[in-house]
Amino acid sequence: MPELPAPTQEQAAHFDYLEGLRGYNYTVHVKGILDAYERATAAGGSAPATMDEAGAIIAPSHLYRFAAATQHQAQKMGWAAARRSLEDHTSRLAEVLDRMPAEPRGRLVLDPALELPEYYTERDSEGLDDIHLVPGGYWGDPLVGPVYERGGALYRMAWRTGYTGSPPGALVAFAKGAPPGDYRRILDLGCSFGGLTMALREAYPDAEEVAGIDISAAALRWAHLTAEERGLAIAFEQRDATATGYPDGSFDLITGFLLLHELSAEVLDAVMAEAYRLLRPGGHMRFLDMPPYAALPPERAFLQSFDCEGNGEAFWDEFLSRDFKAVLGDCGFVNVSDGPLDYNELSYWGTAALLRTGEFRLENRWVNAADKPAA
Amino acid sequence: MSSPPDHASEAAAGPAPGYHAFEDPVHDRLLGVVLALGAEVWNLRERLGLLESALARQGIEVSALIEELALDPERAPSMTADRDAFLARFLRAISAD
Ligand SMILES: C[S@@+](CC[C@H](N)C(=O)[O-])C[C@H]1O[C@@H](n2cnc3c(N)ncnc32)[C@H](O)[C@@H]1O
Repeated sequence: MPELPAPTQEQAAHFDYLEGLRGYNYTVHVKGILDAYERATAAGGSAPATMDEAGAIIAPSHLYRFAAATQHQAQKMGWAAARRSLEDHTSRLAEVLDRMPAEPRGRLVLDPALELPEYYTERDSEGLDDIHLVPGGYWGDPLVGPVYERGGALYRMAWRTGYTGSPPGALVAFAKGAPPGDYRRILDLGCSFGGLTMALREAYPDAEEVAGIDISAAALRWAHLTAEERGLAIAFEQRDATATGYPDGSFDLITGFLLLHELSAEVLDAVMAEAYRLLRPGGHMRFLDMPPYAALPPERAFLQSFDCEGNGEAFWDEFLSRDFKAVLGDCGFVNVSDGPLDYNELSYWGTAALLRTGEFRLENRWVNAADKPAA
Repeated sequence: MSSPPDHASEAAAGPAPGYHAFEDPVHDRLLGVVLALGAEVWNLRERLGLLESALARQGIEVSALIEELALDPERAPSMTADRDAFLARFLRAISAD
């Protein structure tokens, strides 16, 4: 990725503080909540069977309130700090964003006529376009690429490593985890900054085409600049995953990383129908996202549900409560499966904002996979 | 998760409180202030530590001198006066009426 302006000492100290604050919140507070829950249920006879029952025990506690409020505040502080560290360099960054590679290996295709869907642009009560509390969401801030590079890395507890530099291992493992096959044309849905798209290019160096689509022009621009700097031939195109405009059967493999939980059930159904249309018969589809609530013990499912209200994830609950395998079956997919990604990533904190205790948990990276029936 | 907002305290906290973990959104805001203060304090501590290291690199060892000055009886009265002035400023919101 293009180099970011170095933060000042004060900004670096602020990032370190926020990482430390959140690390403490997870390893002491969240861990403490789970320990207290265990003690309470061990003493109380019958253990809660549902996340609501578990929540009724956890939610009133002071520790939970403090942990939740701290996470929420730290999240907002983190994005603001990331944005502020770039603001003094706006004109230089604008130049960087405008400087398109002279001899690109891939391409960037933007569609200024594309209409952004309402769920994507509407503002919440705090005046934020809310996806995980990022001001301007994924589309409203031309600096969204640099902001994620720094703020996203901070979220992953690795601001010094950077966002694109942080966990590519799991993404390559996920990309390579597709069943053996001849994947000549590959499409990554909702690719944002191209983290998974680049991993796909690395996993399938001989593929004829690796494409990433998203509706955010600013995100695609950053993805393109990053991929070109790495010498990776990728087509980044601004298209809506519900109606891409590609011909039927265009792709052998379709993927997505952290896309499913960003969509309402209605939009998700439309994306799945479109993916079915785009796959050639016998093609494979796989997504990496959050484990559904049903796959977690009730107290962990409750902590995971914090993101919906506390981390600005409007469709989180809807998606994670749903039987997504049944949805895929209804679309006509076969060999529908789900389960944790078998990849040991010890430094990984987990993606849900409050379901983090510092210990490695396999189920944090969850794979949904399916095939289109062979003709 | 938390109970429905109490409109009196909502008004006190300003418009549109958004998410709050405590019943009273004012508590979330106060925690926000404390956490922001923590960030400032950490920055100052780090910067002071760096200042001492920077001076040491220039051949100026101040760390031992700082320890000495802290216990210097001659400086004690002015340090006490500074501290009292600081506390008066700091606690004015409580002691004002
Ligand atoms: C959490 S991000 C995905 C992260 C990304 N895959 C990565 O590897 O870093 C969700 C993305 O979905 C995109 N998105 C939302 N609705 C979409 C739609 N209808 N079509 C295409 N992309 C969409 C957003 O712009 C955003 O970039």
